[in-house]
Amino acid sequence: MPALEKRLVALRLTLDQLSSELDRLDYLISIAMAAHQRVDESLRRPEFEIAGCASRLWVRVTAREGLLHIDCDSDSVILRGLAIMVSEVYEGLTPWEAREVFADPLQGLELAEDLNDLRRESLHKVMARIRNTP
Amino acid sequence: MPDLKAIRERFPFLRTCNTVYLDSAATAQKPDVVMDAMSAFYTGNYASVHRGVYDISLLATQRYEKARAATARFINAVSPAEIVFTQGATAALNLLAWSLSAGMNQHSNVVVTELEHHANYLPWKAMCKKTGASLRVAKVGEDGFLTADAVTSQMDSHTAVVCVTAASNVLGCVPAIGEITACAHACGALTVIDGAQLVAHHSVDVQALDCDFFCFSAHKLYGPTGIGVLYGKLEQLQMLEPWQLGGGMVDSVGSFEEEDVWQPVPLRFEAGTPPIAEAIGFHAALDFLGEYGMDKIAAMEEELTQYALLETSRIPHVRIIGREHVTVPVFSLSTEGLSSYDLAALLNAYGIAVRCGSHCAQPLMTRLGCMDTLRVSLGVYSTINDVDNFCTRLESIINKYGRHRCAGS
Repeated sequence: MPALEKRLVALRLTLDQLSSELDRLDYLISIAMAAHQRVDESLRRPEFEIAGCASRLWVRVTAREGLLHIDCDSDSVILRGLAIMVSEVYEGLTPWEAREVFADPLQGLELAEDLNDLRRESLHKVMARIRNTP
Repeated sequence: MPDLKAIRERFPFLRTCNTVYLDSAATAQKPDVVMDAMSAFYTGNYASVHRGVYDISLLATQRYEKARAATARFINAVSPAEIVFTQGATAALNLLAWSLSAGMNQHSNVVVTELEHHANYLPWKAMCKKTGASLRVAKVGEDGFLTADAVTSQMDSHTAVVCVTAASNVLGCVPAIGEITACAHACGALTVIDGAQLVAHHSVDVQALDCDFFCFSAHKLYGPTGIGVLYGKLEQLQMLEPWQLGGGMVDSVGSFEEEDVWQPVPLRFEAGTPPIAEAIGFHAALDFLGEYGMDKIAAMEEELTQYALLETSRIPHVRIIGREHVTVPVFSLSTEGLSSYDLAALLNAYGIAVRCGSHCAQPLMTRLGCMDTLRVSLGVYSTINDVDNFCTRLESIINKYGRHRCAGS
């Protein structure tokens, strides 16, 4: 199984074990807290902001030595956890490989049902930004 | 005091669902009499109004017009003719902004406030852009409170319209509408009052307020969605051009060169088939409130609001915005480390429904220097248990997840 598909399967297996909404939120918050504790002011700039998100969300995608590196931050710790979780699917891929990720990592997950349309749309914008990085 | 347990029994949602519902400012739950009235109409004698000559149409017309009369009594309008049924408060405000634009020019100005819901801000902004009039925005204080002076100081002899909320949908504060209205009239301006957040919690007397227009939605008043009210003094409504044209609002249609003759007020503002079942459901909601009396409901809600404010303010790291000015049972809070979305999502996981975000009041949020707040709003059915559940869960969430960013963040 290609590494990318393994990542998606692992993500689904992890989330499938979280049976309640509270468990899922707890998991997302733990991701956010583990990722970084400090506000990265260099990330909180207009060019990195995802427009239209009710909770502010910033995503910076850089390509280093041909591989994607993604930083995320948000005023919302839950949204930050979500963005980090999604971005980890793409982390370290080449831009070409990222564009080949047609699967929506959220599709069919109970987690996606916990989100309102605005948050789902924001995450789709995060994925689009990653995929569109040259 | 009304029997709260008996009131709750009348709401099917509360009988069947364990959700702690603290979002009545967005929309209120419905008592069974509202659904029963609408269902009986749809199943028993459904027909359109005003133009049918057969029995069930005549009966539908009678019931629709009775709803109008009941609405007039509810806000103490002089006559049912002063009540226009619209799609909601937003539609009523848009109707006014469109119709009043006819008399505007680059010398005119419109006064709005930072406290407004977008529904009483954007239509006026658009109207000013279209006509060249100036938009003057009265500022709130640092705690979000809007003084009468802040509004009246914006008025002059060129002020055509003054648009103010009767109660903030974010902070629950109530501006001095009577004072603002008196000053507006002294300047020769019309007053438009957004009453959406006031009518469910306090008795309203439009004659005492002396406002020219007063708008609200039925669904925040325990009635159905899809219907709202534009009250206007009869002489003011008669001056307005109808904003939607079509069936039911015209008396005679002339040739292209001839003027069309509109129906009398209020029908000239109700083009198309109106929300008949909704009006009947709304009438049932007004009767429901009338059983208890708005003054008694206000007293009961006031007591619970003060309890909620006290208990919420005891939770460490919680800041209630403009607490001392909260008058209707709506208040906003923020806390360190967690956004309002985090709080609302976590509370939802415990079965507690509250609102997060900017509450369609971005000018106010900008003024307050915050992107969003967590809003708690109570209704006639809210209980001390609801408040206690909310406070207990909020405190545990803040203890567990709050202040997660380390020093230096």
